[in-house]
Amino acid sequence: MLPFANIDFYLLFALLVALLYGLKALLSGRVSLVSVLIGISLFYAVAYFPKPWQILLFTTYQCLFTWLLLFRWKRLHKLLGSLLLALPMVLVKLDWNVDVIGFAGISYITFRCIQVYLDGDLLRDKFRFADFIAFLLFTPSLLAGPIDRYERFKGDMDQGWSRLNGGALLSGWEFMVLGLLHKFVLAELVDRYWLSECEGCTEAWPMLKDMYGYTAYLYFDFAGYSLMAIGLGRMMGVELPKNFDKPWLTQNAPEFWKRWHISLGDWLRDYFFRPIYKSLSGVQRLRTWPLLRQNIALFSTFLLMGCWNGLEAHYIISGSLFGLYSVVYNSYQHQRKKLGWDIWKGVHPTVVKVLSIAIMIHLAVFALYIFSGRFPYIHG
Amino acid sequence: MKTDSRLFRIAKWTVIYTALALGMLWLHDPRDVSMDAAASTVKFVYQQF
Repeated sequence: MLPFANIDFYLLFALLVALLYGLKALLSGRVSLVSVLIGISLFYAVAYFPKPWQILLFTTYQCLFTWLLLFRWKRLHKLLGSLLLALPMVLVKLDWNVDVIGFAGISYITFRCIQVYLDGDLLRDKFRFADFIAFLLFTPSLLAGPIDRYERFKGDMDQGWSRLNGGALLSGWEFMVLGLLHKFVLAELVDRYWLSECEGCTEAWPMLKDMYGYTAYLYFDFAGYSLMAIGLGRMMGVELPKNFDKPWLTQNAPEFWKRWHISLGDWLRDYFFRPIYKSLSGVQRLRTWPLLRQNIALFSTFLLMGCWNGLEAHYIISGSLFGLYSVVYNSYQHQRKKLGWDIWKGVHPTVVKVLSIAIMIHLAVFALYIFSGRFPYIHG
Repeated sequence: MKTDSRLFRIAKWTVIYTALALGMLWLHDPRDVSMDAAASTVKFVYQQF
């Protein structure tokens, strides 16, 4: 039984949330909220994951190596340390025969560990093992995010049982209702009455219909999933970060990833783009080429994102497209500031905004269509 | 109507609950505990993550 996948999950967590609030007075002062959340996460993993030993084994590996890298192997190069943490995920992505760890959620646990490791200098003094375990295994965000940050999560845990209050319950409920509407009504409508008619079409009009339909479906489905994760998280005292913020109002490629799957965009910026850019700054030949450094780092980040989804052509091309959009926009901004070359010169700002949104939304829809693997001319 | 007014909030949530209730009744069989859309997400999630 995977999170938010069937009615049993909702009934189980309705019961668990009711118990949390009902027993709050009895439990507070005796046992910490973080211990109870670990208990719930472990119970869920052991009782409901198809192969619970996979997640337990993998979590043990990640905990052990994160701890060693944080407190024992401090001098190891950050790249090597990150690769050590990412190794199981990479093996699974390369489709090596690693059934022992190939379970849903492996990427998100890995991302969280890498975040803790790379922010180690800031977090080492605040690191608490119980918070870390709860952070890694927190059920609502276990499978598909949003990707939380350790210091934020720990802040919630430090407040303890006071996190469980009427405001959190109501706000969580509202997120949950919105998520249900997005996922089970709007995404289902698009899937049933829009997408199912066009899959595999090769003529122009049905392909266009499929392209826009797929983006609408992906948005409602994934945003709905994220809203429900945030809602359940709030009910359990954890304020998970927002994952979608009106992506249809995006004006340029970098902004797109601040509105669509925000937590992944932020993670890639902080733990992939910045380290690459920083290391490229040390390359003698690139020292006088800041724009080239930025563009290499930008393109690599999106290419990695594509490869992370899978090594099939459609994922790699889709990631490269987002990389290309970002590189073009970044170069344009650079030229605009440096040479004053502005293609929108003399155009009213509202017209610029509307046109930018119209252009970006079509570019993003096209890249996501390639990502979907439904584009008939690019096969995996 | 201001978007933070009480009336707006009541109207907004009435629309949301009505759409959710009608949508669930229309699109999903209440006797069937597996939900098609959810299953597709899980499939998606399995493929991606």
